[in-house]
Amino acid sequence: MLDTTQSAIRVSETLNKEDLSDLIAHRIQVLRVPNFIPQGACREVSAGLKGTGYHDYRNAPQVGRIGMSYFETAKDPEIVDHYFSTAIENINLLRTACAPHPCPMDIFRCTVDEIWDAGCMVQTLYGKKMFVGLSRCMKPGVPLKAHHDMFGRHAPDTPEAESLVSQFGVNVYVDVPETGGELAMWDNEISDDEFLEQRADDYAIPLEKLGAHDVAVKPENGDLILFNARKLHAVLPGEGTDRLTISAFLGFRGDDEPVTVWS
Amino acid sequence: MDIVTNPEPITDTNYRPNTTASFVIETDAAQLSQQHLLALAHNEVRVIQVKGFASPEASQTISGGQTDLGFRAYINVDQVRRIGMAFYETENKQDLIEDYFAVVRENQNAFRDACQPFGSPLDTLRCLLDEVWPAGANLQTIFGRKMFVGLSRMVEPNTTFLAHHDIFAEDAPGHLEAESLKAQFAANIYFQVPKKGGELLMWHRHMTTKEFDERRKGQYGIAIDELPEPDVVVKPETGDLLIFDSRRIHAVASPQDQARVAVSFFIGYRGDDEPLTYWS
Repeated sequence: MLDTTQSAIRVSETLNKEDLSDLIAHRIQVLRVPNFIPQGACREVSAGLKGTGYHDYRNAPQVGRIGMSYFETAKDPEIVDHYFSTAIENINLLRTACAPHPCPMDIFRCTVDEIWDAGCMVQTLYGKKMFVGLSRCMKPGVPLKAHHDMFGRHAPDTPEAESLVSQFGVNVYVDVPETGGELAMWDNEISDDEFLEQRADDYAIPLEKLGAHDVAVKPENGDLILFNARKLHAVLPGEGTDRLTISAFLGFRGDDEPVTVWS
Repeated sequence: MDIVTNPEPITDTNYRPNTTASFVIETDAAQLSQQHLLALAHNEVRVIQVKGFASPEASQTISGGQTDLGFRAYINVDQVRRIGMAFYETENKQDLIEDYFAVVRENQNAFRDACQPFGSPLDTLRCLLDEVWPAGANLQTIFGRKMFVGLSRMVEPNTTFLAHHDIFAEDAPGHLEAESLKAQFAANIYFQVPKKGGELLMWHRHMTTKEFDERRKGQYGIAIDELPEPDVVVKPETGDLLIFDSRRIHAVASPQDQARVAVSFFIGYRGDDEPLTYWS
């Protein structure tokens, strides 16, 4: 049961093993590391991302992205091929968009590799490297509806998905509106069948269909936020400006296994 | 394969780079591939030269940032200066091993800071290795602890980095992590290179540790003029990344006009289906 007080959220100055272990063990639900990237870098990375250009998700209109989410493949073999054939070039596209600053996802990957005993690697699937570092742009007034992230739904019957013990969302906040844009989470961990039933034809569950969220975190520019992605979560509408993030999933398979990242 | 040796006589200050020879692969960051690393691991080539891995602007900032951090001489090699500590320096002594691990995090973060506002090319390379190598790439652990990666090094004008080979098992004898290596590469990203000198010199012939120890005569390496002409000469340009077979004898020709400044680490290969690991 999620602690409905803010004790479910930990704010830490650095990304370290103790906090990551607490998140993985579900002792906390959200880990927030402010100033993971410097403010000056945020402004220039934001400009670089906008200059690169956002395109809407194939299956979630009104959410722009650079790179491609595996969620978009919807098990369509042609789209799956496209995802893998563009994975490495999209990682490089993100790097170029962030230059001269480091791509925040690269720093995240290196840092996790330094703190996690068995290291951190890009997830492979069907013998191919996945993309990592999806950048998303949410327009003001538009929420990201409530959903949970289940690798197994998109890559069913694969050892990579079935071996997963838990899945965490990783977001680096490059440009956030002053008001709104909170990450909202619910206690409930519903089954994927129940989720699919509730969302019906939509890509996720409209916020008005759910009760009040149990936890909310207001991100600031430069924050790194990790959270349990198997709980229902959403992004509340922002006011005034676009909300730009660089995101990934972190997969955990046991204390002696490498953690993996993908988008 | 056909190994081309340099036919020209050379002097200490006039090496002729032979990058067109078939044992050097020239590529760039976007093209660096699994095949290049396999060619190196399978002894088909000696060196991968990744041109312009760091931009000129980043290189200038980073070499300045490294200089500000302050280079200090190796514990066991007076002539080469570094920031952080190489595992080679521990010489399997417990107190030095503790010293090595004590400064890992601090030095890794210091290098990132020294690169700002530019991204650390070292981080980019670590990510790239993980992306191009099917089984991925990770930081090496030993004694259950994460090793250091990213040794900044400076070779000053008119000093020579003597000929030596780098073999992890000699620094960590009896440890599975070291003994399990099937090949070891050195990766260097050059942020400042002299106009004259500073070439990477390599010899094809494997030298046993016994022969190496006899010929180095108490020094950390062998004087270049005591060896035949090098078989491979590569002159890196500012911003280049070189990845080469570190278990073969190699040296750095004396920089003539300014110091050679680089960041370096090793890459361990244990088979085509095993993760690569890296450390300094």
